[in-house]
Amino acid sequence: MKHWFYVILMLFALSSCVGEEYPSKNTPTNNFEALWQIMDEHYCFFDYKQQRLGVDWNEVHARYAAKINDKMDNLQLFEVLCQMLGELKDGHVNLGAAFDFGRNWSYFEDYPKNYNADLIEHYLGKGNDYQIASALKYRILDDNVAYVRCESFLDGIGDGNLSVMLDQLKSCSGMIVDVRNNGGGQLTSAHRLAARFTNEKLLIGYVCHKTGKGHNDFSALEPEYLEPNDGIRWQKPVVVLTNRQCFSATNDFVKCMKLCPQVTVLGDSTGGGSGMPFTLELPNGWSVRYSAVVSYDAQKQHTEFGIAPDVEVSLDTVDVLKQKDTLIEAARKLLK
Amino acid sequence: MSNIFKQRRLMATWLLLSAFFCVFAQETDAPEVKSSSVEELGVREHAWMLGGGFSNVLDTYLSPYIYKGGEIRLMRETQRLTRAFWKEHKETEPRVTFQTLLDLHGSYLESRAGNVNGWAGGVRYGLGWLYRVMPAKNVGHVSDAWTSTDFQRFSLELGPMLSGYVGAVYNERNGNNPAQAKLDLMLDFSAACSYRFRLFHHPFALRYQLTVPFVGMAFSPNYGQSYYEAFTLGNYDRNTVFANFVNMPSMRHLLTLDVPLSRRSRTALRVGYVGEFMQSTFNHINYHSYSHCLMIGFTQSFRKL
Repeated sequence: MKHWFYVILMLFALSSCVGEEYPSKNTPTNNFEALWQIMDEHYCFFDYKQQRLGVDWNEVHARYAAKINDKMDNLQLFEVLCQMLGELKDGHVNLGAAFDFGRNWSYFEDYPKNYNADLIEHYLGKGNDYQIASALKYRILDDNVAYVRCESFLDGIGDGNLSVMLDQLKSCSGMIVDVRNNGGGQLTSAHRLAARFTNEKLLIGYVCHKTGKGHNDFSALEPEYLEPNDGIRWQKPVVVLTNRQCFSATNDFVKCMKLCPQVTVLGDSTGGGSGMPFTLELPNGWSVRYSAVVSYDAQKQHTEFGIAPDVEVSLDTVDVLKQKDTLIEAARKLLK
Repeated sequence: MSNIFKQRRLMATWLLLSAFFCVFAQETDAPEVKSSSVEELGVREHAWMLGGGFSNVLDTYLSPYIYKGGEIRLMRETQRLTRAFWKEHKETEPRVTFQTLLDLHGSYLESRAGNVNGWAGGVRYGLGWLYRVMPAKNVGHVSDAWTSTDFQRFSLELGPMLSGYVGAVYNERNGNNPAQAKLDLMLDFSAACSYRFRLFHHPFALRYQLTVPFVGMAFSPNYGQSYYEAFTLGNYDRNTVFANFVNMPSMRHLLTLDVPLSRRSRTALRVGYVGEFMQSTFNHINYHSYSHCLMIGFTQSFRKL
């Protein structure tokens, strides 16, 4: 009887090795197939992209497979693979090689910048005119409006930074939070900043993730809340300045701020990027970044292609010549 | 595909060897003499082993491709006879060995393309109760064979093992999916057989133990679930998985050779091999960690005062 036990055990183990599922040999064809399959099984916006852009991923395979052959060099392969990924028009979809970073930045490249770094420097001033708290630069403008410049959420913004900054600015009549050209970073930093502008717990949206390889295999929508911070919270009017380069975590920050009381979003639409990106790789070692976790707004709508502002304002070239930032000036008027 | 065949061939070889060894042990016409690693109640055998080897890790949450690299491993094993599960037979000798196994390992890995590194490591602790199927009589230490030629050659033990594992796999390149936690609590089946022999008038004890996880619980994120959702937002989604020999077909091999150092000493040099073939498919995430390590250490017997 025990003989059979070992025989069964052996047969069972033989039939159940857990191994690689994608093509593993490093050839252009295998790299193409692996990339297509990784996206096919992991990317989270296929249905939405089909509705908005008409992307049929199977059709994409047929079209690009015809461009692949095993005599291609790395540069040619990289170009074709990037073109294929570009069909999704997703800033979170990238191909990374040692010699290049494949991207589709049409979410801001095809639109006006509404941003001028020199003007922002002009408003912040020089030397010790402004203060720095982690990723935040801030000063009080001459009309007693607080100007806070947030260039990135890549660095952690601590509660200590925020408490000190808000304490310094407490005498101001209003605040401008300028997140233009902020390409995102840590979601926790974005939420930590937003948590200073609400006194109540807010439903900010819903999240879900893929539960299987099918394009429609998703978990149930789980609500996501913004809890007010226990420390100093801002109680006066706020204007958030946005442009098309507000992407990813910054898009989420704007989503939160739109729900906070006394907040007006001013400028251009954000760039979107509501999918949290994961990273995998191809047989040749190139990294593949793709949107994996879907984030919806409080009305269960996608924000993948951006969030519209409450007040649309564009940067005026005449103002630029006068060293005036049209958006900042519009915000100051709004806060008066 | 060739890798899968190689892995299957390796597993087949191991299973054939283990099946042969265990079946052979059962069929041996054992003489009525002693043979086990622990000699009597109150005596505890401790073993420490340190070793190195290589490992092969796949975790499709982090990468669709295997990573390979060197591994270091530290093991501590204790064994003692116990009357647990044997209280109704006080007149007979105890036949259950209580075994504890502490197994720490860490490996530094490299991707197939050689452009990304990763880490894997963890600790497993197991408590085993091995019933000595044969021989019926109790045994002495391997060093008894210095003076006696009348010693037991084969013994076979079978029993359950309760084991828990805490570990992680880390990929240095990934952004929002940089690491994967590995947690499980399993009821395993374990089979151990030992063979004692003399060579050039020197006693040796060869012992082989195969442990197969049978049923338990394990942690896994869902297929595309981020750790941000699971831990920052607290969104549970089938993260505690019912693990069993079908979705976690794994096995652990421990082969040791004890060489007593002297006639009077209860210390023996131990050399060994650890082969770990851990696999799982939870929430469509495939994982395997195959490791092979050569070990060296010592074993000592202590009498409880």
